[in-house]
Amino acid sequence: MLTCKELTELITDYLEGRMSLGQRLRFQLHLGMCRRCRIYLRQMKMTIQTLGKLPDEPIPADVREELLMRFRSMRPASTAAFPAWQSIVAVVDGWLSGRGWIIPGGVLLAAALLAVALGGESGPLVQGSATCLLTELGAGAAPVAALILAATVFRGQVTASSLAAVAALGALAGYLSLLGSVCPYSRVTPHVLLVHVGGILAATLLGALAARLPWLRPR
Amino acid sequence: MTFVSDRSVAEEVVQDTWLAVIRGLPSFERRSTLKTWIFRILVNRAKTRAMREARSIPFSSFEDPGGEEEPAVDPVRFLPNGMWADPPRPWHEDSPDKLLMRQETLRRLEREIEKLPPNQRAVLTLRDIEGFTSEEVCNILEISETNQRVLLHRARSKIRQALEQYLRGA
Repeated sequence: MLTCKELTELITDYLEGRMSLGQRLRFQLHLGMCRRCRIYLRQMKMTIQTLGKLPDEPIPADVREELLMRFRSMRPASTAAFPAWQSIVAVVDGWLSGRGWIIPGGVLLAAALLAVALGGESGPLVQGSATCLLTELGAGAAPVAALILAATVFRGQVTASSLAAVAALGALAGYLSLLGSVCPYSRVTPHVLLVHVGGILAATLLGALAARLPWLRPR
Repeated sequence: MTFVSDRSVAEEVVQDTWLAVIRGLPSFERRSTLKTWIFRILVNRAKTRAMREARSIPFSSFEDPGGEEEPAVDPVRFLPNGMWADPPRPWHEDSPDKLLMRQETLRRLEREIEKLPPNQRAVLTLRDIEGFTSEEVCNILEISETNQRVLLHRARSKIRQALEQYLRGA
């Protein structure tokens, strides 16, 4: 038979559900017969509940202030292992998600169209240009599409700079492979500058634009 | 305050912890709740700090609940056969809210918690005040489940006894 004294030592095992069935039965049998131990158990439960209702200690105003101050001063630089790189990415992302680059991008595009128009149908700029440009854009679009697909499937987040970066890399890869084999105008500087370098730039901008697709916005 | 001896040091540790939390957030792996993770950082920092200052409790004693007997109830309140000689009497206040209505009770409780040995105070605070599960507390304090239970038992028993004494006197 369990004594009252023993019960007061087993009470936490009981409340924590850390008893064998036999121990539990003995414990409850004692409780059923002993009003004093029932009072003890009730007091213990009350103690625990009361501890749970203790009001939170307020944060002292000066501590709070200092913490906020230090938090503000550290946040941009310390979000990753490479602070400088991170802040560059943050700046680029800020820029790409704003509207600042649309005007320079538009000017570039207009200049390219103007050059094509001035060059005429038979100019060195235009020969083979459509194929080359499409290949550049396609090479840039493929990794962007892959990244977007991955982000959608895994519910990850993509940033404008990451999309722009993969687009640029894809287009660059397209250019490097094109230059050696397919493109017959790789020695024509205006063609290379306009179609290939311009194509890489255009792919980069389109990659950045892709970050604005509605289902890629952070929820 | 459980680990370090003075309030300003404790505040510094808390500040450091928040900064470490912000810094470490990108690497938080969600293997535990955020709250548990934050408390782990806090406890680790406090331990490191305490060791560096070498003027707080040694941490071997934190792991060990202590061999000496700490009865839940003063043995003089039992008869030799283990039955109550001086049994607990029902409390007039029958809910935590009623108990805490009096400022004095609240202050008294806080003082009693402060008086607990550091390891008991840590477990009681995390379990009963902060509402962590036993598993989480073991994880935060890096102690075994059994130790956690012994520490919790001793701390709760002391707080109950203090409340009883206070309510009897009142």
